[in-house]
Amino acid sequence: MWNTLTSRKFALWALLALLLPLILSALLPSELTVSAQQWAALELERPAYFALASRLATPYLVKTPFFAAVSLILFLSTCACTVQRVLAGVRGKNSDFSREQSFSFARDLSLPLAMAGSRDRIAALLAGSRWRQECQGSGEKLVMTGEKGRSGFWGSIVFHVGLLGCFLAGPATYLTAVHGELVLTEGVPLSLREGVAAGRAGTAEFPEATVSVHDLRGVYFKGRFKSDFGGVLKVQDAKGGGDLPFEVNRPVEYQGLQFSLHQFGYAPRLVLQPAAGAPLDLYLNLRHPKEGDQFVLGEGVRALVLFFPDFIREGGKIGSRSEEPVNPVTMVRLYRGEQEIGKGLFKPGESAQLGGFRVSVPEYRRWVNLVVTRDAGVPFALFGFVVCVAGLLVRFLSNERLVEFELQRQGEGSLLRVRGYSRYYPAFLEKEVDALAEQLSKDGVP
Amino acid sequence: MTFWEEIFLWIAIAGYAGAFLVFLVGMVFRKERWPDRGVLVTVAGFASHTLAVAARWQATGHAPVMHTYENSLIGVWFLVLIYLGIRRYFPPAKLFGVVVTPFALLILGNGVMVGAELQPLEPAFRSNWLFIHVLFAWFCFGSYLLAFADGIMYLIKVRSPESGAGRLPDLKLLEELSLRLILFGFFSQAVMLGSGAIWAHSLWGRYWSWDPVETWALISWLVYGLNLHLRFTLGWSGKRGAWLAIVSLFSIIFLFFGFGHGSSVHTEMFSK
Repeated sequence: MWNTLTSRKFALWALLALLLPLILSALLPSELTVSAQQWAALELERPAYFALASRLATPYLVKTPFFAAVSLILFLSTCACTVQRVLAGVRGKNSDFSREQSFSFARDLSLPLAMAGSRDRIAALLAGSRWRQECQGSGEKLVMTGEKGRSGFWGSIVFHVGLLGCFLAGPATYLTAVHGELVLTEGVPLSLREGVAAGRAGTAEFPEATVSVHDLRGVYFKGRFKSDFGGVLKVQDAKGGGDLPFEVNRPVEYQGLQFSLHQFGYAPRLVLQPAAGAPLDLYLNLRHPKEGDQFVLGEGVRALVLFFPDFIREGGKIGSRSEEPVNPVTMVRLYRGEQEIGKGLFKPGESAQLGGFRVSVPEYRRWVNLVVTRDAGVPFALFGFVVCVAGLLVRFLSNERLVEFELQRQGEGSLLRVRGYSRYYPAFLEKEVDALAEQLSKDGVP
Repeated sequence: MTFWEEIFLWIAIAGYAGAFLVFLVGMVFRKERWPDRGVLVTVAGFASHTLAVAARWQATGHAPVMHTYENSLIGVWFLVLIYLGIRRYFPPAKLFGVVVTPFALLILGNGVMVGAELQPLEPAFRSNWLFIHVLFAWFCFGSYLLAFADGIMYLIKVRSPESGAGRLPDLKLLEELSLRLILFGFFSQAVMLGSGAIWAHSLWGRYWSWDPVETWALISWLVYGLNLHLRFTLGWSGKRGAWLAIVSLFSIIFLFFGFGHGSSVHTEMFSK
């Protein structure tokens, strides 16, 4: 088992087993790559393909036991290989360039210096360029070696340790992450637990508190381009309360929960007074500024509502000149079943009689969608990222290589063979061996 | 696009197109000095390209990192910068220009066709992590693309060493450059992924969500990781190494041109 896990070929197969399904899954459509309508149409028109995509497209594949198992095997393999290499490194076991895959290059030259003189000269040359050197043999034959770039080995180890951190972030997130969405209309307080639409974890993870948003701002450059969006989140709990200013890219934290501004829109207040009975009084958080939003109002009546921040009418066409609320107008269309029973355009404060209802739009406000999250996987991911990058940088900057000087007596002088080994960089090696040989032959000239 | 940006950009495009022709003629007709002239024309195009980037930056008030056109503009600038840097330290690599310049034209052309409207920096983009993310994204794309060019040249040279390809860089140098480029690209892509995750965490509240862009970024990183392991562990080099560099680029093409990106959150950073 240990031998399998420490086999680098096995690690490669495990990586391939993760990669291939991921590539195939990324080619399938999912709810993240097609619109809701296209997804629904796919289910109706191509049920077999839909069944495949809804199980094996990336967002679904990564939740399968298969993917978890392959990831676990890859994690264990990376772990085992790293431990084995660290042990070898700590024991000071050097690379055996003659046995492992590497490039080599040799130059022969005659030196006029005697063996001892040549040895001293080579030792000085290696020491001058900070090679780690060793010397073996004596008398007729001497082998001196110099090694450099060992930091690359440790860079690779550090990178793989970082990778393990990234691996751990996945399950940590899966097991601990809390995720929810909180839609708040400006000035309307809401219980955090009741207001948040939570994911898998449920709302029990959220503290008892009342939240509301104030001073919302949405600024557009030239009335068209998003420029500045933010506001203040007011939180009230048993300990008191506080104001937390937020904006896009500047989330706020409350009791370990992160609130990130995700969506922003207008919320006209619609009051529908039927001929008899209580009125409907709602802030409508509009999410589709171009197509309009549909709301079921009860008694078989539904409303299509569109908000024009800067209303303009040209001939028979209506629209908005800009995104800034310069001339806000709300369009309301009422339907009973499929039949339109009334429609009207309302400036803030205006009202009209539509299809048996007294309809008014007293004001408009803004609304925001805040993503509420807590995730214990973040520290693992951050640690993994920093360590991975540091390791890779060291690995990139290093160049593991060895030069071997084989000296033999030749009459009064000596015969030298300079052989270099490099794991990865043959051209650099050739230059370096040439330069060393050149230096030694220059020194040999009286 | 501003007046001066347009002028400089078209001069740059003309420069890259001219450089491509010069490199091509030099290779096909074995003109000894033409590759050096090709480099000179590329440098001229790059100078004009730099002015176009500066004009864009000045007009919008922010670094050109938003949407397709600006990414193409700055991305090609980095690509050519990396090419010129490599040529400076490894002079025989000047012939990489025959692959780099058409890619530069392709990416710039795609950017110009999508639209070059001047826009202020969106709130979602106002993060220091964005600049790290984009900078290293282009370092990685540039490096991988040059490794691809290197792989093609290696195969051409191996196939017909005595023909016009004889003037291509030495096989050992091509082999070494390929590995150095892929290692640098792999490092840059790690920075890109990490900084993107941190940025995503503050913007969307999660650091990873298997969004299509994220998925393809991870896939391409794993592909190049596999590429490096095949070289380091199994000792794949020579022709096999060259083929690895060529085939691996397809994962980057999928990532860049957005196959299946659809309604990725990367296309709508912060929705109103």
